[in-house]
Parts: sequence; C-alpha cells; structure tokens
Amino acid sequence: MKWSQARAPLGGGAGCILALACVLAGCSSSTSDEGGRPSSSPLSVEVPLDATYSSGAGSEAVVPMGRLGDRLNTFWQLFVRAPGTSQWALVTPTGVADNGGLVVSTAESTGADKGEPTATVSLAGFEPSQDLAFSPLASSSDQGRSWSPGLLPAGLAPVPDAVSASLAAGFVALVREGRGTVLTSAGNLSSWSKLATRDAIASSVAGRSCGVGDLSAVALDPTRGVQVGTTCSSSGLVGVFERAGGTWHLVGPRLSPSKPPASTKVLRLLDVGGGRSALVALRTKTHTGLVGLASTEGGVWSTSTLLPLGSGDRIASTGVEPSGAYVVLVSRSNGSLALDIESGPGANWHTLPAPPPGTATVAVGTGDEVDALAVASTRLTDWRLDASAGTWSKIGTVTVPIQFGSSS
Amino acid sequence: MPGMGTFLQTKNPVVVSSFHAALLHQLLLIGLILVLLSLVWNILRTTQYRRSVATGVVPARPGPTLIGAEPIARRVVRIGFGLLWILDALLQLQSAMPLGLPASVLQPSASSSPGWVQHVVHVGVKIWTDHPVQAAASAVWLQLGIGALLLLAPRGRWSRFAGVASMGWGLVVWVFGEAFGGIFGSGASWLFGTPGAVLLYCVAGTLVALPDRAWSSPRLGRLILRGAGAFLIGMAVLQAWPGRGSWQGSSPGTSTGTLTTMVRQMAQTSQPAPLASLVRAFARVDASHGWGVNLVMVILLGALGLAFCTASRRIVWPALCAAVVLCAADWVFVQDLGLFGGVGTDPNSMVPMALVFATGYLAVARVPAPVPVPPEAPAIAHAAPVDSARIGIGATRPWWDRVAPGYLTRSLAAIAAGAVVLVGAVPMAAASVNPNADPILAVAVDGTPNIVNTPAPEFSLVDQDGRPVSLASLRGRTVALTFLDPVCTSDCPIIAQEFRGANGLLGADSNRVVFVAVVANPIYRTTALTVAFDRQEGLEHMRNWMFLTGSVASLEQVWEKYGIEADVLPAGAMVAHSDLAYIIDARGHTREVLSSNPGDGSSSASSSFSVYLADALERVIHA
Repeated sequence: MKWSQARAPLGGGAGCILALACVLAGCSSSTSDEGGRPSSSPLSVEVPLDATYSSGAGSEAVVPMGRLGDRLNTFWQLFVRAPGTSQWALVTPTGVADNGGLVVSTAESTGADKGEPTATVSLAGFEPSQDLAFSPLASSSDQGRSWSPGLLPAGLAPVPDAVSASLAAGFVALVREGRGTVLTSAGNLSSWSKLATRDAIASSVAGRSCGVGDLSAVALDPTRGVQVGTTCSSSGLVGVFERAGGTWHLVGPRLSPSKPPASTKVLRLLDVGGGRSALVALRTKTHTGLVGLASTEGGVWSTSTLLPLGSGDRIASTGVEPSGAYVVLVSRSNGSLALDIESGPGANWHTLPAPPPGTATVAVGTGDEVDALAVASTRLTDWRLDASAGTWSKIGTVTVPIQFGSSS
Repeated sequence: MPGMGTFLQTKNPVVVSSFHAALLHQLLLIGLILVLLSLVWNILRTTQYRRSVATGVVPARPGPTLIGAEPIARRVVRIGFGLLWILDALLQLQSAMPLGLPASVLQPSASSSPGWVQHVVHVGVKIWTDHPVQAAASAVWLQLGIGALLLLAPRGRWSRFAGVASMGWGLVVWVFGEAFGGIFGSGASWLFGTPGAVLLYCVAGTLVALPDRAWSSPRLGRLILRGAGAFLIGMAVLQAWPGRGSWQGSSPGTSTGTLTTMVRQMAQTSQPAPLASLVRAFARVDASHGWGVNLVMVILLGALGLAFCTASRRIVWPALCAAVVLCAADWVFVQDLGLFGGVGTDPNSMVPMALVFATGYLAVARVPAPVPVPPEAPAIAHAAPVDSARIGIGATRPWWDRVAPGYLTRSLAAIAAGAVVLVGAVPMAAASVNPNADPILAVAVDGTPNIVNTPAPEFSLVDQDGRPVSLASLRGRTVALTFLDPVCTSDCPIIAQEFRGANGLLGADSNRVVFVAVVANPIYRTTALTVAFDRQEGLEHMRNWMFLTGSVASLEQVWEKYGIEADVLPAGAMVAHSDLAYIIDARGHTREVLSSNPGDGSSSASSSFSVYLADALERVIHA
C-alpha cells in the first residue's frame, strides 16, 4: 500500500467498522421467545410416565426416584401392593438401566366363580436412554417377583400406555418410529411384527375424518384386538381406533356436538373389564382440560365433566382405579398439587384434599382407599387419605437401594 | 466398570508429564539448532575476522535501505508486543493448559456467541482436545518464537516477517481461542476485553510489518489514533445502550448488572488475597453505584475517543495519560489481570490497548527526521595498504564477508527465533490435519497395557447367528477380546465404537484381526439382543466382528477365566461389569491386557482409545 496515496483515514474507517460491528452485535436482541402466551393446545399437554394401576389383582405404581434433577441419577421404580394390604414392595425388573423411564401394563383373568384374578401377566418396557436406542422388555406372571427378559427392536414411545398386555391376545407396543408405529407379539417377547404406522392410520378414511396427528396410546382387548389412541384435530372427535376387516375404524366419540373442542389427545387408553377407558385432553376456544371417557361393550361412551387445566399447569401423574375411573394429580403453576378423581368411569370429577408435598403419584385401591406416594431421593412414603377428616396419615415407607453414579 | 466413569482431571499427571516431556524434547531440538547456528556464526565471524586482518578490509554496512534509527513508535510496539508474546508463552507452560484450555477458556469464550461462531470455535476445541500435549507445547514455542523474533530483529525483512507471524498466529488465536473477541456475543464490552486482546496483537503485527517509509510521516500515527478514537466512541455507545445490564449494579428487585456479575466472578478466581480484596471492593462499589460507574465509563470512553480522533498532539497527550490510567484501572479491577486461575493465557486486553494508544501518539509526536542518503559508499573500506595480488581484488567475495558483524549476528539470531516458531508451528499444523486423537488420553484414563505372555483361556460360545465359536477356531488371527452388555446405556456402545475405530485404523492388517465381544449380562443375553446391539452400533456389516453369548453357566465360566465381574444391581441400575480388553496373538497367547474404560466417552477420548487399541494390536501382530 502506498501511504502517500492514502485518501481516507483508513485507520479511522477500520475502527468505525469494528465499533459498528460490536455495537450491532451487542445491541442485538436476545433470542427469547416472543409472541403471545404459549399455545394451550392439547397437543402440548404431556402425560408423564408416573402412573398407578389398580385392579382386583392389587395395585402397582411407577415412580421416578433418586436425584430427580439429574437424569442419569433418576431411576424409575415399580412397586406393587397386594389387595387388602398396605405394604408396597419394590419389584423393578433388573438388568437394564431405566433412567429413560419405565412403562408397565398388567392384565388379569378372573375366576368364573369368585371373580378374583386367577392369572396375571405384567409387561414392563424400558424407555431408551443415553446410547441405548431400543427397548428391552420384561414380563412377569407372579406380580413382579420374577421377570423374564425380552426385546423390542425399537424404542418405546414415552407415554404410560406404550405397552399393553393381554393373557389371551399377547402384547402390543407403541414405538417411536416416525410419529408412532404399532407392533404386536403373540406372546414371544422377542418376536414382534409391525401392525400399523401412524401414516397408515392417518391416511385411512377414519383417520382423515379425525385429522390424526401422532399416535399416543395403545390398548389390547382379547375380543376387539388392538386399539390405538391418537391426537385429533377434527372438531370434537376423539381419536380411538380399532382395526377390523383390515381397515382402521374410528370408535371414539364426538365430544360436545354443540361446542366441540378444536383438538383432542388421548393420554391414557385402557381395556377395563371388557370395556374401554380413556383419559383425553382437549382444547376449546377458551380453555384446556381433561375428560374421562368410558364405553361399555356396546360401544356407548359416557363422558365426564371437564377438569380444567390452567396455563402453566402440568399433569404430574395419572392413575386408574379398579373400576376404570381416573385419578389425576396436577402440578399447578404456583407449585401446589391438586388431586382430582372421577366418581366413576366417565362420571364427574371431584377434588380431594391436596396431597402431601413431594407426592409423585396417587393410587386408589380396591377398597377405595386413596394412597399418595411421596418420593424423597431413595425413600418412598405412603400417605393414606382419611376421607372424612380430609387429612393424610403416613402409613409406611420403603427405602430403595438406588445405585447413584451407575449410569455415568 | 460402567457406573464408575473416570474423567480426566485438569492436571492429570500422565498428561502433564507427557506435556513436560514434549517441551523438554523440543527444547533439546531448539538447543541443537542454537548450537548449530552458533557454530555457523563462529565460523563466519572467524572467516570475516581473518580476512579483515589479512587484507585490512572492514566490511561496510549494507546499502541505503536502512535510513536512520528505528522510529520510537515502532520500537515501542515491537518491543512491547514482543515481551507480551513471551509472557503469553510462559503462561502457556502452566500444567493445566493441555486439558484445561478447551473447557475453561475456549468454550466459555464462545458461549454467548451465535451458533456459527461456536461451530468455528469447536474446530479449534476439537484439535486441541484430540492432541492436548502437541497443541499446548506448540503454543509455547510459537509464541516464544514470535516474541523473540520481534525483539531480536529490529529492522529489515526479519522484523517485518516477525510482524507477519504475529499477525498470522494472532488471527488464529483470535478466531479459535477468543471466538472473534466476543464481538458477536451478547455481552460485548470494552471493559471485558472487546474486541479481544489478541486482535491487538494482530494490529501490532501489522504495524511492525509495514515498510519503513510508513513510519516516516505522522500520517500513520493519525490513522492509528483516529481508528482508536472511533473504536472508543463505539464502545461508549455500546456501554450506554439500554437493556444490556450496563446501567444497573445490584439492588433488590432488579437483576444484577453485567459489570457487577463479571467482577464478582473474577473475584472468585484463585489469586493473591490482596488482589481479590481489591476486586471485591470494586464489586461492592459497582453494586451500590452501578449507574454512576457506568456513566463515568461512558463519558470517559466518549471523551477519549473524541480526543484521539483529533490526532492533535496537544490534545492526545493528556488523553493518552488518562487512557493509560483507565486501562490500568480496568486491568486491575475488572479484568483481574487475566493471569490467574491456572489457565490464564494472556494479561487480557488493557496492556495491549495502552500500547497501541501510545504507539499512535508516538507515531504522531516523534516522527523520525529524514536522514539524507549518503553518496554511494565503496563496498570496501580500506584500513591499511592493500596487497592487491594477495587479496585478489576484483574476485567475488562471499556475502558473509560483505555484511557488518552486527547484521550477521542479528540475522542468525532471527533465524534461531524463526526456528523456534517452526518448532511450534509444524506440530500444530500436523495436529490440525490429523483426524485421530493422541493415544495419551487413553493412557491417562486406562494406564499402560499389562504385558503378559500366557495361554488364553479357552471358551466355546455362539455368535449372533447362533453358530458355535471357540477360541481355538480363531487360531491364526490376532484376537481383540472384550466383554459388553448388549443393553448397556453408556460405556459398552462407546467401547464397541472404539473397537470399530481401531479396525479402521489397522488398514490391511485388519484382515489378520478378529474383534470379539462376549456378553456381560446374565439376564439380557440372547442372540436377538446381540443382533439388536450390533444393529444399533452399525456393526452388523463388520466382517471381523463377533458378539458371543451362551447359557448363563457358560458365560459365567468365561467371565471367571478372564477375571470379569458382572454384577446385577437393583433398583433400575444396569449390570456392573469390568471394562477389560485382551489382545490374544495368533497362537492363542494373551499378550496384552488393557483397561477399556472409555472415560468421559467424548469423541476425543474414543478416538484416542481406538488409536491406543490399534497400536496394541499392531505390536502383537508384528511381534
């Protein structure tokens, strides 16, 4: 460069450019979320894996324990309680790290004479975690005292009804491929075949009428076969599908024909005593909430009242009573817990006294006893509700030998 | 064992001792170069002296390209930044540099910058993390060489080369080490070092690389001052901009200001107590009077910028004094000298900034007077009568005989400094193009292999296809044997990839090796699971890979023979098993036993272990 020919204060120009770059970069707005309130579409309502299930065979509860803020030191545990007892037993299947989550489905058959369960099968599935991309399985016929290993050649969907077991019909699983794929097994836990994909259901006539989004739950009935729950964007329809004659049929009801919700999402789907039971999130123009659905063998659905969910509310856990009614634990936006229970399948919701702090899930047993299971690191505490007094009393604890650091 | 992951500490003794060993080896090389250059210097000087004694001829200085003394402004920037480079080189000697620099310096520097900047910085992080010893040692010699070159070569081509080297290496450090000085980040501020200390080294290098005539008029000085002035005005605007946390200290109901936050963080750095007290005291002042402190800063920066823009000596001189005081205050109270914490790489931006300001002023105020060009001097000055026949006047004389002794000495010193730069640059360049990490990381995590020579215990299991496989059936090939859990969530997939990587590194020798894994889970052990694992890890098409399993009894026998523990843990934990790899030669003898703990499972650690394993296999294959 010939300095004698320098026309402009190049140093000043360079300084200006540098300063301008710094000013522009430094004054640029941060990439915070902009726009209005977060969407309250039910598609964004998530149902956690924390869950309970009660039947004539007893109660089971799936809860995360350990250091809940540290994913690699959070371990999911399975507890069972025999009917008529108050002691929970730890029966988590061993051999696989379950930091990603645990889903369980239990099916039973009842004796013809006494109505008591004579046989049970439990299917547990491990959610993928870290570098494990598929889902090991475990099955038990003695309520978790012993387990047999199995394999699902894909990763389970992260929903509590990702697996369903039937003594007569085998097993069904919802996996993460695409936006959901349904696999079935006749009973061999290592042999699975593909039944349907999300796209296949969505492109069917029934699927198009519903406006299927994602697959969100599966259930297995010995007579009706596989049922699949989905999200629906078509006004008021609830996405419960059954397969018959090689095609998928929409068997879910239409909610509130006069004021149909804009979209729905099946959060839970169960086969209960020959009928269907579903917990559905829905979004209308003005609010978001949950409804419980129950259908009889004839296919007539009953719908509960709406359980509203406010902005910032989060479902903390769901549970199923022996009758098929739902119990829902909600974490409010202000940090408090709210507990609501259906009076019966597809009946009204009523609110129970707020459970103790730290409650992870709530189970309703065969005698209508309500138990709140609170978790503090390695300790599970069972609180029983005195309905008349409206208070909770501690009735037992279980200390779990969490293996901190074992997954890192 | 899985669940007992070993992460490298910043001052891992294996890495630190390797770092020191590398420095020592390179120091010996430099010493050898210096000895050679000294010999050359001695020979040339002796020849010069003998000839001058014999002929009475004294070599004259070279032609009229060097006129007058070096301008003081140039000398200030050259010597100032030469010393800074040497200081930075000495800081690079800290033991924590090989392992601590990426996590403690490189990555945090880009944390508030856009994704593309982080992507660029990640390239540098990857190179350093893959080759920590090589990179850290190279940085020492590069910076030491550049500093020495700046100091030892005051004029001429070597000096300008030093400027170019300073500019080049400074740019590399500014981009990959300082994330462009944070100018694209959300918290850029002159107080915190914007536009990046190393950019000022580049500016200094550019100035030193300029031809001599650039320093012969005050125009250069005015350019420097006006550039600095515009920059300071911009920084004043940035400091005054609302919504960036500059105007608040720390008061109830409001978030803590950026300056208070930064100073409090700096106070927590390990440093001498008196300095920490000073910094904390300033933090308290700013917390209470953040608005006032920022107002003072904005006014000062703006005023100084305007003063520099005038480029008038009478105005710039007091502004320079004020700027130096301001730089010193910021250097102590905000930037905390930049030297502490174990991975301080330079004294931050205030010292270089003050040097640049001073250079600009001196280039305006102390312009060298032009020196008249002397008439063409004879190439030879006769000190005594000459015997023409004896000295062969009219014959061509070698160049070292025609240059002044001082010039010869300075040239050889510059060559020595240049050699030091090369001792740093060549390994750094090699590291940057080597896709495989240095095995030192694996050695640091897993230690050196146990060398043995014992018959390997026999086993008989089935492979993924259910076909029987025994160790005897693998005779004739070298076997790399390990134990993996097919439903493991962490270590085993990583170890499998490391085995796969080692196979790739073996090249043609991979035909002489078979990689064998044995199931290490007594519950989840079916062939369906080994197949699922292989598919998950992309091993199903690796011809020389086997994942063997069997009954619980047969597996337990193999585990016992090879000293493997496989413990079923309760409450949702994975099976805990030993991480070991056995290298078995073609005759069926175990030759090396390696720990296969994958450490933090990073790409660098995995690549390092692949190299480590491949090296072990090569040793056994070619033993």
